[in-house]
Amino acid sequence: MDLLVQALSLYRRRRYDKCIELCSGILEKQPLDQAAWCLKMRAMTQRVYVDELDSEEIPELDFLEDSAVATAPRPGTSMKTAALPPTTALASRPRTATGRPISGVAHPGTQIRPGSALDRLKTARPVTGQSARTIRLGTAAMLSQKEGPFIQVSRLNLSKYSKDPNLSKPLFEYLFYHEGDIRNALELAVHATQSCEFKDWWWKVALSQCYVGLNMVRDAEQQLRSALKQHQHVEIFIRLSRIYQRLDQPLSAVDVCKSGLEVFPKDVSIMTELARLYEAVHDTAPYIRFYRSVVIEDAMNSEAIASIGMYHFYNNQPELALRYYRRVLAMGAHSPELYNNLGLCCLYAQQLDLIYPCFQRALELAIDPLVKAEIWYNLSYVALTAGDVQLAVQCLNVCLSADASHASALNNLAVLYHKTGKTSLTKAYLTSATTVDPNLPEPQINLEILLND
Amino acid sequence: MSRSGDSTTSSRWLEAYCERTAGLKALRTTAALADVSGDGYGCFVAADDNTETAAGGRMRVYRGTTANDIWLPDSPTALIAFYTDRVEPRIPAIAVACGSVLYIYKNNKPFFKFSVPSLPITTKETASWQAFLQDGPAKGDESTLVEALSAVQYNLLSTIGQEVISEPSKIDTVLKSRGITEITKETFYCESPIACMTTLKKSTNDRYDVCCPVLATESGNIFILDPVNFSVLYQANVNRIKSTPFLIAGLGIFNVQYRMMIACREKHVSLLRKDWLEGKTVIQTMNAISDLIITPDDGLIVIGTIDKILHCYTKKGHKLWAIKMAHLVTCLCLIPIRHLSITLTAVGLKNGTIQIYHGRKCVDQTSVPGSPSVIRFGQLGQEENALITVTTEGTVIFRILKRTAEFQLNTTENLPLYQSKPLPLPKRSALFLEQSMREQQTALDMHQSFQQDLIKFRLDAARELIKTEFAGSNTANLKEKIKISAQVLGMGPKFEVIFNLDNMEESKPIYGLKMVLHVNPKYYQCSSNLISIPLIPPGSSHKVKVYVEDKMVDPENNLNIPSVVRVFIIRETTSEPVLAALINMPPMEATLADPGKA
Repeated sequence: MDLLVQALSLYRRRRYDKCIELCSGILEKQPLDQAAWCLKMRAMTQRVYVDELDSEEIPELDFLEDSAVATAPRPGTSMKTAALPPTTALASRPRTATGRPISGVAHPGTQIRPGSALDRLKTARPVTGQSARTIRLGTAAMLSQKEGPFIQVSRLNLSKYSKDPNLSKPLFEYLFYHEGDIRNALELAVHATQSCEFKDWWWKVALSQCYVGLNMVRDAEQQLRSALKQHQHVEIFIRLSRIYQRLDQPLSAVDVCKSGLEVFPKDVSIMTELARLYEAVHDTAPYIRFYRSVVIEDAMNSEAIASIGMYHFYNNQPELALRYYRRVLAMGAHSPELYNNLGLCCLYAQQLDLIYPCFQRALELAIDPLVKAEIWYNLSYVALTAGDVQLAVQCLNVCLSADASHASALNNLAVLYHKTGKTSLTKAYLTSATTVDPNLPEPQINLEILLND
Repeated sequence: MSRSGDSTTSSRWLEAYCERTAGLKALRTTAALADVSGDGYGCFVAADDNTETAAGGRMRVYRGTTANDIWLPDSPTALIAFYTDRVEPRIPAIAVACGSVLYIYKNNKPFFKFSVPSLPITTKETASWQAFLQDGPAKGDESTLVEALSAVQYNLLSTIGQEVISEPSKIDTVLKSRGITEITKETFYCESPIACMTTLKKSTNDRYDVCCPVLATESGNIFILDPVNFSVLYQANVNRIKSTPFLIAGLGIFNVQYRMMIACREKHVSLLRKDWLEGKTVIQTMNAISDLIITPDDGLIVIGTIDKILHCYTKKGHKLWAIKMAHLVTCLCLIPIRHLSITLTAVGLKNGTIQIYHGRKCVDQTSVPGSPSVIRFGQLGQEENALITVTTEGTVIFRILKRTAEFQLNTTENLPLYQSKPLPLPKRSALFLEQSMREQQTALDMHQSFQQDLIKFRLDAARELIKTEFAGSNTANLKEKIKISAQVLGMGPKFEVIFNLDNMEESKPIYGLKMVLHVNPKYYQCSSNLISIPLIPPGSSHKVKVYVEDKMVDPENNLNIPSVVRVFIIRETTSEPVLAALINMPPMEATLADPGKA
């Protein structure tokens, strides 16, 4: 069989490593074989490809950049100062330190580290909007090249390649995803879009990707708007909505998604995007409506099912939440978080006999100390429900040994110590809770009460 | 409350008259304001026990500041003023209840006397008397008679029965003096004293309309009298259960519709409406009631109880609000201010403070010397808005509301809030019912397995705790009462680590400690590995700053180097560390480490 055909078949079967080997073999014999070169590029790209739309964290607006529209937005028009929902049980949902309600699933935007960008500057966290992912992708590529890089990017004649429509796109993806070299990818995209006389929407999307990577959000918006005029694609709508989220304009993002829904009615990705958006601005009714329609379209969408479950849990219907989480379990998900949620649902739905088995399973599965800490924190509630204060103290101590900066645990421990009459301990724990998380209101209020007594 | 009533300069009240030697011991129920002579000059009328003579009481009429006493044959229990007819000049009647008799005065002269209809004696008492009188007054029967009479409720006994019970030895003289030989209606009757009174407008809600006096007796009967001939127009019972009324307030018009609130000593308030033969309990309080009023506009019931709480209920008995007062509520009074068209509530407190409430909001405050026993508000002399207070010490104080006085009223604040509004909870699902069925059916199994789980849970928690204890990763030592926390700052490769050592001991300082930083020298370098810690005073903390440099051996962290710094707090004398902590060092930003890349 022709080696190239064999390589193509391997590529299609997603056996990228073997495909790359074969292509390297062909290229050794014929270094100018464009087909093999292209295939090798694509295979290498695919090997490290990550759908950044579904994994990218939406970074907060940098304090360093000035693209912010308003520094004090009106309530309801920003995700930061989103109007809190009326006093229902839903309002008391636990929130991350950034003020977002903790959702039933981890999706883009929920894993943001606590603190504002300025706070994060003090801690050793990524600061700029250019996410750490691009850097990591670049480094991962290095590892695969033991005998030196496959393409010497600095030596590439980008303007030459940009004129070849068959080569330029794989080359761009290679540069963008594999090399993580946004500058050169941008240069290539600029040349390519010029050579096709600004008629190819794909290049505009590519340009916008580069601009986002370089933190030039407004330019990216322009490119996407112009791409939308040429061609309507779900990806463009979602990318545009992400850009508005990055600019902290949730209402514009919602508008974009809604216009997308008119073109692609009942599209699952757009509806998921909308649901997440509404969740970010604490608008419960549409958020749950969109997740429900997602489930109607795609009955296996675990994000939607888990989110509906979480909605029911915080809406004082733990028995319904339990049903949804069990559905997720039946779909084959086995994670400590899921078992933890199941245990909590059982606790609040008074299915006493099932509580501990769920938590036990969660503890067995938990490897990450942070997750472990959260499970022990929740177990302290089980202990409190059973009326065993000593056990609750033990659970919180275990939680703190796994995650010493768990502010809620520190606060609860302080309260329990206060109940047992150890005031000096209470004060020490409350003070450390406030230092660990200055945004948490409970330890501050407790400290005030303690000092006033 | 910008204008507090304590200083006279900013008070809304003008001090008109204060008589500290009045010696008037008026009760909540025995004071009224009335135009006694019918010349439009408002007088304050109060009745009390005459302490100077042995028996009887007096009614004192203040015309301006001159007092005029009228002797009463008995201790007064209640006093009301009302118009009996429409004859000009309009002279109101003052009715004073003494025992079971109502004395009615007009223009300071006796006008009429009404006695509460006596009740027939109980069959039990009749039987015991019959047994006693048939045999003739023999000595041995007296004790059996007293025993039989004691079995009957005291306030249902006939007057003679009550006398016998209170002084069993004088039974002969009691019987002989009255010449009792057989049981007749005239000699044996049950008399019930009037406990409280109020008035009820007869046909219109006009201020000067004819009113019906309403009498409530100790035995729990309500009599509504005709204002013209003082016959009983209507009779009802306070409640189905035994209740002793002591305060009564009415609202409405007798001919149309009315409601009466009767506070009873049994800690409940009964409602009596037109055509009801007996009242219904609408409010039950935890503690005894000290005073009760009904606001005329919305029919809200305001009650003070002896646990220092002021309650407000709707006319159906739903609780609207309750305010904890600083002192005991002694008396309440309505303050209708016509020119402002508002009705306020005066609340007299034990310490001599009179607070004026609009709804649940305190709008004014004034004070009197001594605890007020009765407050009245109305026309005094020519003055429309006068506040009359009588204290328990017998001081009489007249105050006049300034014409310019305004009360800062926030209208939205004072709307009655229905706190019983249900929370927006979702409906119970069918699933919930199924689950509760499961709970009911397998309650025993569930409980047992939960108990087993709980034991398992305790074991696991203890095991985990021991594990962390042995791993030395506990951040707080409860025996030594010392706690450590750490903060990693910076972006690398040089990090600043700030340790915070808390001394949680209340009295003892901590000293002689050293801090050891344990790192793999291949990957990290510390500015100092052994730091001695100075004395930490009790209850305070000490900060230690250490620089830790990442040596960049493995910037991609592919070799899985544990990026941790171990910290031990040691005491020189012991081999075991006091504290041990693990600090996770953050990964570095590759961009900052190597600016040429990316």
